[in-house]
Amino acid sequence: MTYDVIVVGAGHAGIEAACAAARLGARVALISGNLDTIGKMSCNPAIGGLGKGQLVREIDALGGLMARATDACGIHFKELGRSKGPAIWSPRAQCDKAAYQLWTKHAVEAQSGVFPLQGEVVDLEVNDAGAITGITMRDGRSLHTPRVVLTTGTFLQALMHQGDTRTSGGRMGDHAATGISAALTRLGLELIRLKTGTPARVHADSIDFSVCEMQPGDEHPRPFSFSNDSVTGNQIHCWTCYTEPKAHEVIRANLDRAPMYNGQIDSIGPRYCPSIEDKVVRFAERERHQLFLEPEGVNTREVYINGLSTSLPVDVQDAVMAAIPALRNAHVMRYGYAVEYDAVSSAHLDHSLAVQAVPGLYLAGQINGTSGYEEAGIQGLLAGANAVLSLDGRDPLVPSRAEAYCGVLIDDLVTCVPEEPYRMFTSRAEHRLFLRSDNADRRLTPLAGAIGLVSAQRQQSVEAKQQAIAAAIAQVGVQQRARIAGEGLDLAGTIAVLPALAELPHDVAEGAWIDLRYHGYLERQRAQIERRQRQAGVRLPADLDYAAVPALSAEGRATLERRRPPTLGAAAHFAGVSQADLETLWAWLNNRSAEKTEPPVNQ
Amino acid sequence: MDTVCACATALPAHTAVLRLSGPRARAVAERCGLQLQAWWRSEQDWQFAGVAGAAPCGVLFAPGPRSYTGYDLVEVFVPGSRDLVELALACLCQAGAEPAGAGAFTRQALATGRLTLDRAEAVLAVAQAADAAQARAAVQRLQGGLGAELAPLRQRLLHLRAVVEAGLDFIEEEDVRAYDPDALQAELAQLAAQIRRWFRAAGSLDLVPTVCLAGPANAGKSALFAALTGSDALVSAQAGTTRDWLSADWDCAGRRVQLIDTAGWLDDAAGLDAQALAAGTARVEAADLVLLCSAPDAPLPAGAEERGDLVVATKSDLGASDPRAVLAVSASGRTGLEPLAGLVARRLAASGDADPRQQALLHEAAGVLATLAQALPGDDLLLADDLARAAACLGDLLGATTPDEVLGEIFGRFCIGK
Repeated sequence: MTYDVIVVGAGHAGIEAACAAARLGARVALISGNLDTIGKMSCNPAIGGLGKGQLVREIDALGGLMARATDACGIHFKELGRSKGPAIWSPRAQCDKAAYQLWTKHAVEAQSGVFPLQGEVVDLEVNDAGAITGITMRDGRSLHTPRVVLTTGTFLQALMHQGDTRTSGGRMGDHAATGISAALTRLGLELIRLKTGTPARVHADSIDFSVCEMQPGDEHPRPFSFSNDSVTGNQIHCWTCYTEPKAHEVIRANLDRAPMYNGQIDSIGPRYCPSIEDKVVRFAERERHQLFLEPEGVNTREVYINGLSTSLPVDVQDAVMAAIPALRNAHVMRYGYAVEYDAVSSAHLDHSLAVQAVPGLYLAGQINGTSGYEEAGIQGLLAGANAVLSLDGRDPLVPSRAEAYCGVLIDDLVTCVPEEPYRMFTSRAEHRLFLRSDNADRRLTPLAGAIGLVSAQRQQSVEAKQQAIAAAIAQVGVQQRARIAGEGLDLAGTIAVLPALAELPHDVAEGAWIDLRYHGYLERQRAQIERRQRQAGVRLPADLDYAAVPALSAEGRATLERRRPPTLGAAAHFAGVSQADLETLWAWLNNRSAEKTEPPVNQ
Repeated sequence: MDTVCACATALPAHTAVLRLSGPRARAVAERCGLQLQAWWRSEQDWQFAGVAGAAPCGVLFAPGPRSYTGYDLVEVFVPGSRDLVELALACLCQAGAEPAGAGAFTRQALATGRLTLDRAEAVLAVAQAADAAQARAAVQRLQGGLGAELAPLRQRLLHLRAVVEAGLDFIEEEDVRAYDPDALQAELAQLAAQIRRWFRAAGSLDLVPTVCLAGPANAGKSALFAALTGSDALVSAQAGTTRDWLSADWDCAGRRVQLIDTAGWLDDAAGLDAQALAAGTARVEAADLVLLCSAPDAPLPAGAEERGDLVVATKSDLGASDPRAVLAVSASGRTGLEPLAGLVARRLAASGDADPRQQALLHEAAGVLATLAQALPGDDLLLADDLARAAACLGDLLGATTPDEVLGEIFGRFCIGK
């Protein structure tokens, strides 16, 4: 059987990869060890959050699934950062886990061109030139394809830990994937070992909610997807409670049984998502830690204990619960555990998420050392789209750092291999005043439309919105502008100054207000960005003698000599060519052309 | 990082110093048959590979990471003939070293963290100093003035930014406490003032240098001030007429300078006079250049010439000039004014605390912080971005976040081997 693209893994990266590839017209096989776990939320039941909510909006702007799935299955919406300014606003929603899985399974099955297949991929097939030709399944079947996207999540050589109990598997109840690591090593890729963890799920009826604080969601939930006007699902409450010193004593007394502390696990876990034993050790002076109680759905009584991630043995987990007032009678339905898994050093990637050394191989999600559904989803979408674009000999879709959080994410991965599982933070983006959740469609849908990743209709509606915002801003006088920016007016205050805004659709009025409010800062950042873009358009002569350019890094020089990119912008996409190399090259070209009194040619 | 070698001495010379540094410096030297004894200069014969005969040499070995470059550093002292040095360098290159590009050693020191960028620039300034005054200023910078004060300042800014960023990226966590806006503004004002001190340009941030007139009461400072600036300072023969200080623009040989006239030194200052003197003293301390006036009828006291940069003999129409003076002027006769302007302009060009790149970065950082100290922006996001911008300015200055473009520019100006 032959496919244009084979996607291995049907988690949040895999489904976006398969659907994006199919939207570009490819015939795609989507292979999962268990088709009942398509789009499964292995850890917490939430989508979005700071930095991550922006990524979900970007997935939506590029035609992906995650935002629509969340709108359909969300049961507790809360926009974070409302008090910190509109550029930080980040949507977040608790989802009904079971509903989310069903929705995504249905969406994948409904996408023409995607062929879901159950089975385990154990090997990658390459030709004499080292390029991908297909995959081998556990049962011996071979499938032929020139493009493979690996989205194996936490499943490669996965090992789960609960105290000294070790079980092979990437998620409780599921097997590990065992053949692919060996295939990757054979192809010359460097593997690294990462670790993540998940807390216990307890029965809601066994929680003492009288000592918890209720966390209501937003009164008027704002949908994640630009194509939805409202959210229809029933909304529930979440709760918070606290640990106590007694619980910390139990943990301290049992540290020798914690795999992270007795040497059983020595791979690297995320600092931003520490286990409870980590928190107790590293912040010994704290008397309590906050826990968030998040229902896993409307048709289940299981509650996710956010903040209590652990790999302690089950008897210690019970003892810890007993020492926490809200959970003292808790019935644990599933215990927490840690999982160790193989990832590929992201130094092997280029900006299209292709593995440089193995033509036809693309990687997305946790296999690249990231963490989180949102980070995985956007990588899957870009890898799937780029696999097809490269088949057609077209330029890859590579948003820049100035255009998108996903541009920041991928540039960070390619240019510096993360030392711990990588998650998005708003502070990673230099131009986050531009990279907002409200304008993801204006930033990215035109790019997606240009390559056929979204419908022409969708593209036109975003263009219309863009024009409406520009028209609204054009009518604002200098004094009004100064007031909105200078006094930091909110939307209501701005409408008081500009009554005409009230007549416009909400998203247009809001877009205009935010652009006005950040005007001075945006202008400064725009100048920086334009400088970068001018730089990207500078042509590199085909016969350029890179050896004559002083101060290039040795690696950058070697890459440039080998690949001979046509422009500085193209050069930026090669790993090994640093921003500093680009600046050096640009300055050198400018000097040289100044000597010849002819400016560098812009594209 | 390459292992590089170069001759650090202008040839011909009595003795030439060959410098070899990098991760493989030890191996290269040993392959050449040189005996290395850490921190000890040893005299030995160097037998060149493939050539009959040997040269006497001294070998000094500084193992990394505590050497100048941070890598193993070998210095070989050989007789300073061109042919011999060429042969010796060829020998080192054959053993695996690369010929050093401009500034390669200092660049290694920067890469290993042994030097900060401001100090590297000072090395350059010393190497290129045209006269003793320039060299003295550069040496002062090399002794770490700028970096020693700015590095902790930048750390502090990064810390403040982190506090604000944490509030942005971890809003839900109860551990993340909001900062206290008043305390933050007070601290930012303090940091801005600290950065501004580097300008030493009293009260102004526009990079206009400040020149101060100081000296005994009735030494003719105000008359000179009026003659130079064309402004009408109150001039009288009565000692102590200028009560605190005056300031006006002076077109100093084509360069705009802020000229400041201070109260003269009185022997028996008390009350208001003392306050005026204190204000004047503060001006003098903040000035880029201090001209000490010494008149025949009000001479500069012995030893007081150390309180300023140049001594100017004023009222030269009245009698013999002070022998300590570099120049004699007469405000009433309008003599010596142009030579004085030329002299001051040259001194300002030579003694600038920082070069224009550093000045511009300090200016921007201080400006951002001063603006924040007056009013915080409505959004924490904007605050965080402003803090990042100020920190990036200082980072560029110290080489912490400098793009290679700037580094290339700086190191391209070095002599090989410095």
